[in-house]
Formats: sequence, structure tokens, C-alpha cells
Amino acid sequence: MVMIIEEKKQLNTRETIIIELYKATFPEVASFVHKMGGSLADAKDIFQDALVIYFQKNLEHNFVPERGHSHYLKGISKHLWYKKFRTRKQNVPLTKEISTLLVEEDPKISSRLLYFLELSGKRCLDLLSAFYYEQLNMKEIAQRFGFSGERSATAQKYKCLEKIRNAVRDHELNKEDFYE
Amino acid sequence: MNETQLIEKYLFKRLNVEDQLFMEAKLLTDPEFKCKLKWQSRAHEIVKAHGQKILRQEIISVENRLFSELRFQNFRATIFKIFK
Repeated sequence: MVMIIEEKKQLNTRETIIIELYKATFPEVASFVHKMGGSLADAKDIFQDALVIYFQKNLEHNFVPERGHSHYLKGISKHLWYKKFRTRKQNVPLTKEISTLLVEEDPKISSRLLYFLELSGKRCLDLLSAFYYEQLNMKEIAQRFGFSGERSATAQKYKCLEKIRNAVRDHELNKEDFYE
Repeated sequence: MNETQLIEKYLFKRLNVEDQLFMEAKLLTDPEFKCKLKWQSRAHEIVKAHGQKILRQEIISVENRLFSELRFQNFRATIFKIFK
């Protein structure tokens, strides 16, 4: 049975959730891709993209699909397949819930700025993404990053946010291009 | 609540009515603060891009394990049967 991310977050690592989602859903996605003439590599690519979208939507909107996580992951995978191979002139109707899972493309972050920040402030980016993107609480952040407690982790989180903000400012004031 | 915290709550729509009004007034009267808001919003986009990158790496790592470790051999057999 597919684990419900929101309910199991405290008990399972993200890695465990990914394994369960692969075991529960990837065989059906692979069958679909094969049926459509795709390869195993195609199926892997599609499923990776689907998982990224799916996790992001769960984190941002606490989305709990009525018909189960596996069903919607399959829906996203199919949609991505048709999008990727649009030239085959095939289309699939999206249910309302599946269409809400599909996220708009992110604004293009300059890969140069991200690379620079990953070199100069990786620990800060790791900490901030653990909080905002993985949605760990401060106790979990403190444990993962070795802080003495939640207060210390919270203080560090804001220091990191200011550090990244200032790096963005410096780039902007130096007229670095942020967008590719 | 310092400026960074205030901006964070504003961006995530977690300000109470009183602080929301204060924030809006400050944005109208303090150009430097308005710039901070813009930069902090961009900082969140960068954190998100980094988070997505980490997630994708984790997914690829898990996938590699599923297609190599002994304990997942039944899973692999199912998949290889599809593409045989």
C-alpha cells in the first residue's frame, strides 16, 4: 500500500517513501510506456519527473488525492509521456485533480548563481531547503545539522536566509543576470 | 519580529491583520525594505531550485538501488519482464 506522505513523514524517511512509491506504481507506469513504444530508460525518466512534481505538490499544498497517491502518480506520468512525445499526436484527458498536481514551470534560476551559492553556501541552502522544501520541523533540523536545540536551529535558519538574500542582492547590484 | 521574519511571514501569507497593515505601509514608505522583499523572494526561489535538485538526486539514487540490490530482485524481475 502506498504510504501517505503527510501521515508518514514523521515515521519514514523520504527515501522509504520513494521506494514504496516505486514498488507500488512504477510497474504500471513501465507497462504503459512499453505499450506506447517507449524504453525502460524512457519509463525511468518519466517517473523521476513525475515524482519531483508529486512531492513538490504535496509539500506546497498538502494535497491528499481522493483516489490514492499511486493513481495520481500514474496520471502525472501519463501526462508527462504525452507531453514529451507530443509529436505522436496522442492526447489524454486530465481529471481535475491530476491537472491540479501539475505545477507550472519554475522561473528559471540562473544556473550560475545557483552553482555559486552551492559552492559558497551549501550548508545554508541544505538547511533552508530542509525547512522550506522538505518541511522538517526545527527539532528535526537541529538533529540533522547538529545544533544544540530548536532555538539555535531557528536562529541559524534566519542567518542563512539573510546570507542567501544578501548574495542575491550582491549579484543583482553587480548586474549579474539571474535568468538564463 | 525582525525584518527577515516579517518578510517571511508576508511571503507565506502568515501575517495577522495588524502586521499585514504595517507591512503594506512599510512597503509604500521604505524603498530599501521593498528591495529586501524582492531579494528574499528570489532567495526562496533559489532554495526551491536547490531542494528540487536534492530531491532528484535522491530519487535517482533510490532508483539505482532498486535496480541493483539483491533485496529488490522481485521488483526488477517484474520490470524486466515488461521490457523483455
